[in-house]
Amino acid sequence: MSITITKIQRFCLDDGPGVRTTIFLKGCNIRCPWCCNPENLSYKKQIYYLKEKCIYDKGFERCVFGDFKYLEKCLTEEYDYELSRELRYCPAIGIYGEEFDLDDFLKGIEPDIVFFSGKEELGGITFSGGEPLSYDLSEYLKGIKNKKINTCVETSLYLETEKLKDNIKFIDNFIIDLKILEEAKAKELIKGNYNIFIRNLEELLRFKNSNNLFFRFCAVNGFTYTDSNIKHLLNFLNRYDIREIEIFSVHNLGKSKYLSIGLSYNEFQPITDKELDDLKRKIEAETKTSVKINKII
Amino acid sequence: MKRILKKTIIKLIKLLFLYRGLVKIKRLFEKESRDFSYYRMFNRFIKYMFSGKVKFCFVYEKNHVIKEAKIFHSYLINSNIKFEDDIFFYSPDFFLVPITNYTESDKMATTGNITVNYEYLLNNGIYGIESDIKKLIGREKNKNDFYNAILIVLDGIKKYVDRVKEVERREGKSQTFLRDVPLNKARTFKEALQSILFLNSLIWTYDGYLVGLGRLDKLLFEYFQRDINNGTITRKEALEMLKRFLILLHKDYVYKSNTIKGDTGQVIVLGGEEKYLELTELFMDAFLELKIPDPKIVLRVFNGMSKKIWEKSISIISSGMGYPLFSNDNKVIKSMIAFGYNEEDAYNYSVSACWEPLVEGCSFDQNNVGQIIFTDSLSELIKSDEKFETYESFEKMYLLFLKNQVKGLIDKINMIRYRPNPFLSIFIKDCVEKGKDLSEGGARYNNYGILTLGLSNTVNSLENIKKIFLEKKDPKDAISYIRSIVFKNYEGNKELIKEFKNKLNIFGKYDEEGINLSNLLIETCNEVLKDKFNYLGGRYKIGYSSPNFVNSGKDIEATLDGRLKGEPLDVHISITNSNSELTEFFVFSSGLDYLNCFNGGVSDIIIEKDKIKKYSEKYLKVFERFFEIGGFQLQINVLNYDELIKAIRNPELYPDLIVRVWGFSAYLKDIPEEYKELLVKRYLEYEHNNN
Repeated sequence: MSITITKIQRFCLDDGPGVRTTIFLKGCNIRCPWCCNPENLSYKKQIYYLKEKCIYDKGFERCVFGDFKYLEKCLTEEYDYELSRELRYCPAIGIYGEEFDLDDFLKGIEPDIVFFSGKEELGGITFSGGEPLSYDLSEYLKGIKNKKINTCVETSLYLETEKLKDNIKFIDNFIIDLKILEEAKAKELIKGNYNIFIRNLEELLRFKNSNNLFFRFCAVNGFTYTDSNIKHLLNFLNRYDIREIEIFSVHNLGKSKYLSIGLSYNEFQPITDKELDDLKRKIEAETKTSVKINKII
Repeated sequence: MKRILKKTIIKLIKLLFLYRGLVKIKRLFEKESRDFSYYRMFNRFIKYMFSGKVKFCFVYEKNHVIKEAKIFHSYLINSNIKFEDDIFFYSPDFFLVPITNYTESDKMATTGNITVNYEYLLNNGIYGIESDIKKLIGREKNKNDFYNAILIVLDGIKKYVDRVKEVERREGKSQTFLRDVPLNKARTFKEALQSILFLNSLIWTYDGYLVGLGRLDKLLFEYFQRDINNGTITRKEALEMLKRFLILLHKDYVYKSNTIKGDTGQVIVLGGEEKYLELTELFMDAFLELKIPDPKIVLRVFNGMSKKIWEKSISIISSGMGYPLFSNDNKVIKSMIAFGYNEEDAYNYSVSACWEPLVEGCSFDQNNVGQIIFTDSLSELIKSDEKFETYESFEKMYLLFLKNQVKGLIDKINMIRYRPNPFLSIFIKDCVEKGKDLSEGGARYNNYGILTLGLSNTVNSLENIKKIFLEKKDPKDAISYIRSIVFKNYEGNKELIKEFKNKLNIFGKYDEEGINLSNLLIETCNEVLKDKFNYLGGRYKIGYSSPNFVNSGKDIEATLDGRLKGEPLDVHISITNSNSELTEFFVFSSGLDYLNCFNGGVSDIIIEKDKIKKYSEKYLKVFERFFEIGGFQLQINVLNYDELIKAIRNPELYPDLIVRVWGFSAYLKDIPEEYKELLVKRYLEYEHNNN
């Protein structure tokens, strides 16, 4: 089964133990309003137009890469995702999503195989998204594991349990993004089924050592960072005896990507350092979980 | 008319015994200010005459080697003696001007950029050396000039020591700095440091340049350990001594610099063995506390190097000092042995002013003697009216042009002759035993190193040319398209610059073509070099680096990798495609052929200051892995963008900000604008992919 990749990003320092090469897969089951990778929401390929990189937009008389009208057509109408040669080299225009089969994929990660093979303590390969586990990754993960490379998946756990079961034995580490921790609100705010999340989590806890599970919590004003959700978070951490969690503030780094695919963007007010410190203190006081604050630099 | 006038003036200068002196004064002016005119030179000259700084040393002698010994002697009789520290004596004098009869040797090149055998002085003292020479003198008559020259040098040193003692008495100093050393052998850590400083200061005084310090942890360890075990000194006292030692070396960096301020060649080589760990660490602690750009460290990374050394290195790097430069023992030693260095010597390698391997105290290896600019042959080929049917024929012709370029370079280099240097000959192994001066092949190793520049620009260009040939179908169209890009400097094709830099350049990406093509170019040079010898009987080796990417780039046409005419060429081995990340680049770099190309093989990277601080542990592991998979050397510029920009705008607010230039660390305030611009540009390419 082929997978749709939007980006292979090397030398990632925040996507799992050690240094990671992160594979971003296209498509997600839920809709978090603060998502910073909007290009990975839809499962379909999408053409993008990054206005700030467009030299036509910067006052050039004509687009040097081709006919701008043609481009407008591309952006608005159904499009078969074949860019003309000229447009292929335009820094502003491109396609989010490229299909890979197993062979393409293994070729794409050749340098990573040299770098990480046999060195699990150094880092490895992480699948992120979107929701990477909505694909059947077993063949891909097996391919990586055969090269003695550490695997990691960043997931929301909002997916069919069967899919999780298919992949679980090839995944060394899970990064689990905690979001809205209450059934009704989860449905309302992120269009996710909280019960499925819990079922998947319990499944994971049965199969995996807790040392291999990393929990993350993005604090977003009005969404995850509310009195009620924090209360649910504390309950959750206590109930499942979570040892460690990383917390960080929402940011606006994804803004240009929203605009590039024609989506509107609402700015988020970042959580202050003080608020994060307070949250850390609160969690550590009321649970057995230790908290690491990650300041985005 | 002008030429006749010039010739007459030069003749007059030679007749008046001023030739050598004026050459030196010109160099001094260049160091103080790079923009000098004859008018300003004349003004300065007058000022110098009355400043009391400059002293003239008169020598008349026809024999080349004796003449040099007499100049040395005269320098030491006249040099200024100053006391800058209360535990060590160190007083290099940069303002001694020789007034001598003109001989052929005056036009020869000065010896520099080597690391002497400090151990010889430490173990024997001047008296011991003198008795060695006296045993040798008279055995073979034809060598007497050389030995006599050495005796004159040694006499000069003894007289200098007496002068220092005399000045001490006159100034009422309570202690005698040079009571035991350097005349006698060193017995303690402090005496060893003093002996090194003494010899080092003489090298500078006698017109030395790019003066390396060598493996000081190895050299000093015996003294350090003995003193610590005896309880003569504590670790804290030893640290204090090291700090003073380094500060004294740092002090006159402006006059020590070769071109840009900071380019002094004062490299201290650490590591290479676990045995000296305590002292390796102590040196690092001293550097960490001092935060000075010069001297600087080259760290020899060896199998099983302890985590402690890694961690200390990362903290020095993170503080933005631009060193240590990491050098992979596994690879360097193997390459040196394969080239022909004896095994024991290869294990004891040290480096020239930047990182080019040599054997300390044994090598006259002139590692920066010439430079191959790979883009030169490419520009020449594009300008020529050669016709090509395919890309393959284009590449073949390029390689032919390249071979000719290398041949021409070697012919030029083989014209160079070095001036005798009986003083340095004492401290380079085998000269004394052979009774031969350095300049006549006395040293154990006399290999020359060739620098290279523009390898990545050329590899990328060739690959892009190949694509153009494929696309255009008609080779005539292809070549005229290529010519129009180069001759019009991308005019009308500006979009190509981004296309090349963001998408097409392959150097630094995981790409077999890129690695193979790079290795092919190196192999082509080696085909020419492999059976060439210099006048001393040494051979030629090449490397992947050169300090001249800015200056040489100024005269070079646009290249097919997105570089405009006159822009700097790429820096050493570095990322040339904005989509390439560190891990991929490291895999690429470790695939290059270092066995046959080891005269420097530095991967040059830039890291954001906050990032390396936050993720130091992860970076450490990545560097370790780089050397495990075959990386050769690594240089890291740690920068913070805001700080860099503010410091460029207001240098007075950041007098201590240090950056790494080609192969040395320097204060940002001291480097020319074009280097600052390049730093900003490269930083943006690295950290923001902001092309």
